[in-house]
Amino acid sequence: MVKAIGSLLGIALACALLLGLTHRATTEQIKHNQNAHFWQQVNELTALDVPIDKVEWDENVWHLCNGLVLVRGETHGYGGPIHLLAALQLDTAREKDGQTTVRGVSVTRHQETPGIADFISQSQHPWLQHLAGLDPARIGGVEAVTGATITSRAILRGLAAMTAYPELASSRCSR
Amino acid sequence: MSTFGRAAITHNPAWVQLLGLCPLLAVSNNVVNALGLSLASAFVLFGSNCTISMIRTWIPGFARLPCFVLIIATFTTCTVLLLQAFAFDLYLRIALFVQIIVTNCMIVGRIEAFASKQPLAKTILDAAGTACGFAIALLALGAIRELIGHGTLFAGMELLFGPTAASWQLTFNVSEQGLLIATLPPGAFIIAGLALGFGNALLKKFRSRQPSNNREPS
Repeated sequence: MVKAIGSLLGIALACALLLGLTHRATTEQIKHNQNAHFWQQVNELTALDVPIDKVEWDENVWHLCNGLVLVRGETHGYGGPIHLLAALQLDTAREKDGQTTVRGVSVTRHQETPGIADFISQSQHPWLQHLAGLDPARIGGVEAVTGATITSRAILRGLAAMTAYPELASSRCSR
Repeated sequence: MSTFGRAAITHNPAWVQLLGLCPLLAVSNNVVNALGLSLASAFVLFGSNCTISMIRTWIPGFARLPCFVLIIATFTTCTVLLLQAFAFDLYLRIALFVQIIVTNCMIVGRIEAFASKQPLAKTILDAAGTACGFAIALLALGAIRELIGHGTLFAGMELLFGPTAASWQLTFNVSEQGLLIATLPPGAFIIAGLALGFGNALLKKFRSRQPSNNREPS
């Protein structure tokens, strides 16, 4: 019996050691990858000449100049919260009624079903591309993807909420 | 039939033993996903089988399943960390299925039936054979589903092999859009079922050609 307990403890310790070493060895690289992925998404959305590597959020909204705004939001998807990033173009020519256009949407975090609804993390997917250039008033009319209705609707809901942020009206801009 | 051949072909984990069907059906919608998952599964299978074969005399009989699962889970977590570090974009696509490799019956099944009782040399062959068998099933299904569903082959290989692999993609524009059902779960079941039938028919033919003293009960 004692031998058995000793073996079990030994195995458990060895496993913990292996895990600890692997974790140590990969943490840096993983963090680097996650950051690179995030900035890649941000730069794909904003498409500026000089790549961005720092964001200054003012309550989920960041006004880059020339009417370009980066917005972040969260919505309830099928398997958990979906974290969204969107680039909106405010029409600065008509100061009175701002006509916003959606320039692009990106999903930074989600827990949707793999193989069925995880297309949302592929920024080149046709459905997400379709959202680019959309008038926010037409968001409700976008059709959901077959097999991923709840996920699609969650993203559309989140996007609609993001285009209605009160902070969008502010005219302070950086960059 | 050698240990390797038996594990890979006549006792193919997916087509004959019907183990690991969940990842088989869910991740096989294209070749790169299938290849990524079969590599991850192979790593966990190989690592855990060999480790357990090496320490099999020290594992107490009454507590062997917790030990097996502990070791498999350790290897699975290591695989997850390594994938996140070195193939992040691929990981994003198959994250959930790499994390549930630990529940794949194929791994515990081989350990219980073989690795915990056999010496290391034989275990290496059996584990390699099982991993190859699973990879064959997964890749075959992945290729068929990608071909029928998207009309391409090897799309997205740069997720695994770096930017130069983007040119490996073959496109067959037979129709406007691929057959959607092939990329969805019902299509996976249908195509896997057909592949299963086809694979077993081939095996039957193969077995009936063997000399009678090698014939195994089917």
